[in-house]
Amino acid sequence: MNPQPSLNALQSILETLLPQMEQGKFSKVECHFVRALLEQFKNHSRVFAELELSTRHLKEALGETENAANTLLTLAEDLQRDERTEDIGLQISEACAFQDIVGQRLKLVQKTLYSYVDFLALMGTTTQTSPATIMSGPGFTGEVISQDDADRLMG
Amino acid sequence: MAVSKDMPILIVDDFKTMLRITRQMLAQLGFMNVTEATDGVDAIEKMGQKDFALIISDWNMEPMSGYDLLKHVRGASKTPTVPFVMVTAERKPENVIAAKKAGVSNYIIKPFNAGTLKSKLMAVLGPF
Repeated sequence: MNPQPSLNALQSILETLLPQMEQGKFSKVECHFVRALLEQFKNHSRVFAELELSTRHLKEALGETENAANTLLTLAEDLQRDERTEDIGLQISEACAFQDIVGQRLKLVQKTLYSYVDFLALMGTTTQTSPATIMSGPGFTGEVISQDDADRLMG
Repeated sequence: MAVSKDMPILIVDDFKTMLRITRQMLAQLGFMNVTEATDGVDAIEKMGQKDFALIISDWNMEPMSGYDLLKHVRGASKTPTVPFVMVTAERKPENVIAAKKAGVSNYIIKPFNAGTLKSKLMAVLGPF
């Protein structure tokens, strides 16, 4: 059975042509098409990597929203029982900070999707796409440092 | 020297919710003389209008980040020693190290609470 054709396989085949192009075995037009196709593959890889990162940010954002909602609900229940009334307003305010973190994640996703739209618009007309400036953002659970770690680094 | 609760403080963040929360936390700690800025450029404009004794800034802002603001503050003739606390969701060691090299006074990781803010401000300003 013949192997399934894939973009990666096609990219590999095109890359094998590069040495022959260097040796002048292809016309200028053929060389131009091969290089243009390889550039498109590079752009595809970048876009898909960014989209994959975006889905991770969305997953984290959902978890953070759920945690914040649970905290707010617990505080609201305490308030209903008239407990800890002194600090409760401040604690509710602190819990609302989730909006900032979630907002940063959604901004990153929005930026990626916009760049993807730009990329699609440019496909077929040019291979020149401006690389997206991706901020690292809030990071992912298990991959980031804590306040204690930051304190140690600050010395 | 005792910390004056009237000291002018500049807080910088592009999320209005976060500015509101930080202002509330500072009020809880007794600091009421607070000015808000929504990014680095706005912060520099506010610093041109008034001298601040403390700057508390987010990192991720556009068009000018908190990191660029920190470098500007440390390079400016009027503000090289003004305490600058970075408050950020950037939780990678390289971010902390870069901020430290640029002269940050302390580094708070989001989300944070009033207790963390107080302890970091006391580390920078002294007990209050």
